[in-house]
Amino acid sequence: MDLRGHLELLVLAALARTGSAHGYALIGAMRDGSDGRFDLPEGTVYPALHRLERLGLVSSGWDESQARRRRVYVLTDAGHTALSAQRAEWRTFAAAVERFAL
Amino acid sequence: MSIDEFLDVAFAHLAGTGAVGRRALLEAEDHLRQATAAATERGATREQAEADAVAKFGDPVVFARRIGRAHGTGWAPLVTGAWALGAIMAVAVGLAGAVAEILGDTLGPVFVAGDRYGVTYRAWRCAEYLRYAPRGSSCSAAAALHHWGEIVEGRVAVGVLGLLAALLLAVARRTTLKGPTWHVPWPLVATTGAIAFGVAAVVRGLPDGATALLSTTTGTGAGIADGAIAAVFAIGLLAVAAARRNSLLAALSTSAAS
Repeated sequence: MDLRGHLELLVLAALARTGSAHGYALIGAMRDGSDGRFDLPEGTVYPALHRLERLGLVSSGWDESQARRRRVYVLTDAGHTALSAQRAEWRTFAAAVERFAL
Repeated sequence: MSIDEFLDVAFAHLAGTGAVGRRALLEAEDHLRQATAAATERGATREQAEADAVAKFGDPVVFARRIGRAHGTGWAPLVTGAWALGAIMAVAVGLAGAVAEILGDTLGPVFVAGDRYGVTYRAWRCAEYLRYAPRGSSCSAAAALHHWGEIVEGRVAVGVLGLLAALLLAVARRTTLKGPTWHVPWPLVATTGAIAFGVAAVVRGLPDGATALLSTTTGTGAGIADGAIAAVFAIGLLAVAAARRNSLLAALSTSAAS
């Protein structure tokens, strides 16, 4: 499935589902939560997370509780707001496609 | 490709990205080792599990480019790229001036800076040239000595400015313009430079080279020097562009995908 242009929405949505998560868990959540349809090239997700962090939509920190420390991401308030806006936009688009093309 | 090989390639292409690149590399390694451990638990051999994890993660060059872009502003690399290309071009002009000087010293100033065949001098103009260059044995020789400054010394001065610009860029990258935002897009610089120098080699070198061979050598030295230096730079930058073609293709595919 071609996810170009939708990756950030999916990452934000996955973080909203998981709460805080590191990249590997987030990718697994996206794959499992979509019955394998969102099986992304995993190297695309980390740059997306970095970009979202630069935009202030997610924040991150090192989790030192495991044997190997991991970068853990969480949605910020601005991220929640952006996700709501993108969801509304997607619903509008999907409804229009439903009426027009299907 | 093993995890270590992936990390080596990604590290090479994250050069200059500083803390964000180091963090991305740690995240990638952690991800790949988790994926490998999960696959070996399911019964895969370690080698196969590593290869599968790396294949699933994607091209390390594309990964590194995406990380750079995630922290970049987009236009900043164009500034550093134009700066670098401008410095390279100015240095090339300076070298062409140096070659022209050697040719002039060897074959005479008229070869490099002489007016083309057919140019005539009014008496007052001739007197002016001879007053400026008393060493000139004729109007045309004195004119060549007069033009020498702008043709040879002017080019060398531009070259010195180019070296200063290159030095300034190197200092700026280590002080104020640090990090991935201001990285120099060398594959793009090399490709653009190779094309520009290739065109310059043909436009500057061929007409004067043909004139020198078929007609007169007077005033052809500067064009021949320009063409020769442009050809050398075109070949050199073409080699750099070819060596970094994977980076350029990755950058283009990253742009297309985002």
